[in-house]
Amino acid sequence: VLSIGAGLRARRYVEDLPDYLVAGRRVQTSLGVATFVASEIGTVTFVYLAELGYVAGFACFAIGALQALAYTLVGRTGFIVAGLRRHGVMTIPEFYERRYTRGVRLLGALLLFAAGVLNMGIFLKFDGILLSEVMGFGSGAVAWIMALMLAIVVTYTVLGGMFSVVVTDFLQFVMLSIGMLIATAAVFAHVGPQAMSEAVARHLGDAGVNPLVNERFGGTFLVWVLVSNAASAAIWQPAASKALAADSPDTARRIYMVTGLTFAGRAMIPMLWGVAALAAFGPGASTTAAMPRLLGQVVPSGAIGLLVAGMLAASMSTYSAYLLAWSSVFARDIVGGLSPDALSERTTIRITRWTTGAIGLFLLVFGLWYRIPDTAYQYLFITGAMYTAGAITCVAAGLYWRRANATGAYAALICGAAAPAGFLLLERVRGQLPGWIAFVADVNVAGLLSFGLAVAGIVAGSLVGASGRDKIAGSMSA
Amino acid sequence: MTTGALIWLAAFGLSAVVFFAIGACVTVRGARELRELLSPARRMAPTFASRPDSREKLR
Repeated sequence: VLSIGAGLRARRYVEDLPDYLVAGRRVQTSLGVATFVASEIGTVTFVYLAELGYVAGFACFAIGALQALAYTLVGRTGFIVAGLRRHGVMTIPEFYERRYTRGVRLLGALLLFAAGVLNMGIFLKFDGILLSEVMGFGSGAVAWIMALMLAIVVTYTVLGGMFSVVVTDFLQFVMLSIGMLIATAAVFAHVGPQAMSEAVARHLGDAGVNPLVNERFGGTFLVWVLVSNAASAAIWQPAASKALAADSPDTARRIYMVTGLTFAGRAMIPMLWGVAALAAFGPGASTTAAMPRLLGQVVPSGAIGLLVAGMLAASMSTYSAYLLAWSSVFARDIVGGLSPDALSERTTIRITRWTTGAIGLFLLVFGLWYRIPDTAYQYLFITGAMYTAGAITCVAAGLYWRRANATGAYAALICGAAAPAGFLLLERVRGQLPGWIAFVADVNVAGLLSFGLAVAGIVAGSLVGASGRDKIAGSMSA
Repeated sequence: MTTGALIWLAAFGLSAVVFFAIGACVTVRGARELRELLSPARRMAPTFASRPDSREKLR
C-alpha cells in the first residue's frame, strides 16, 4: 500500500518527457542499484530459478555465477552502457537512428517490442502460481490475483512513469529483501544443507553438482548464458534504462558493477529454495509449484504476510520497469518512427500511457493460454535472444566500429532474430523435422546461433553495403 | 555431504552475504538519494544530459 501511494504521488514530479522516461536523468548509484535489482527480481524470477534448482540441483548455481560475471564485466568496462548514457538517448532504438537510419530504428524497435512483450508474457502466470500456492488459494484465484496486481502496477506506472518506477522500486527492493531473508531462514530451519546434499546425490547424482555433465546444461548452454547475459545487461531496455536514467556515465557504470555483484545471490538464493523443495518432496512434484509449496509450509504464519508482501513487491517492481520500457519504445521509436512529423512530448507521453495499459491487457490474456516450451528459464532467454543478439551487435558496432553501416545493421537485426524465432515455431513440431534443420529446435543451439548470425550479418552487410552512409561516422570514439 | 555440494553451498553462502550486505547499504544510502531526487532544489540543478556538450558527439 505504501509503495502504491508513493508511486501515485510521484506523478507530481513529471514535467517533461525525460522526467517521464528516465526520471530526469538524476538517479544516483545506490538508488540506481536498488531499482535495478528490484526490477530484475520478480516473482517469476523466484519461480523459474527455483524450478532450475528443483530439477538440476546445485549444478544450476553456475548460471548465477556467470550472470554475476557478465553484469560486473559490463559495469567494470562500461561496455555500451557508458557510451549510450554519454549520447543521452532515452531508448536503445533511438541510438540506431543517430548512428544508422530511421528504418534501422524502426526495425530494431519492432523487434525489441515484440521480444520484450513476449518475454514478459509468462510473468503473470508464474506470479499467480507462487502467490496462490503460498497463500493457499486454489487455481481459480490465480486469474484474479494476476488481474488485480496488474491493474495496480499499470495505474501508478501510467501516472508517474520512471519517477513512479524509481520510487516504488526502492520501497519494493526493501520489502523483497526482507521477504528473501525470511524465506531463506525458514528453508534452512526446516531443510538443512545435509538433507539437500543427500537429496541431490540420490536423485541427480553427478549431474546435480556438475553443470558440464548435466544434460539440461552442458558447455554450449553455459557459453550461451555468459554471452546472452553480457548482451542483455548492456542492451535490454529495462536494464539499460537504469543506465540511461543515471546522473552521469560513471554513475551508470557503478550501478551496473554493484548490481552485478548482487546477481550471484539473486540467482542462487531462489535456486537453493528449489533444491530444498527437492529434498522435501522428492522429484515427483510439479516443478514450478514445488518451491512455492515448500515456502507455504515452512514459513511461520506470522511471517507469511511479510513474505507475500515481498513477493508482491518483487512482481510489481518488475512489471512497472518492463511496462514502461516497452511502452516507451512503442511510443517513441515505433509510432514516432512511422510519424512523418516529430511527436510532441505531450503526445509521446500520452501514447506511452495508453500502450502501458494495452500491454497489461495483452499480458493478462497471453499469460493464461500460452504453453511454455522447455523450462521457463529457457523460454525467457530465447525470447530475449530474438532482440538482444541483433541489438548488441548493432550498438556495439555502432559505438566501436567505424565501418558499420545501415546495411549491416539491418542484416544483424534480421539474422539475430531468425534463429530464436525459428526455435519458437519449430520446437512445437520437433518430431516431424528433417534431420538437417532439427538442430534449430534445440534451445541452446538456437540461442547461441543467433549471436553468431548477428555478428556475421553486421560484418557482411557493412562490407557489402555502400560506404559513406554513416550518419555520425566521426563520433565513433565514444 | 559431497564435495561438490560443499563447494556450491560455500558459493551460495558468499553470494547471499554479498547480496544482503549490498542490500543493507543500498537501503540506507538510497533513502538519502531518493530524498535528493525528489527535493525541489535538486530538481532545478543542471544535469549532465542538459549540458550542450552531451549531445555534441552525435552531430
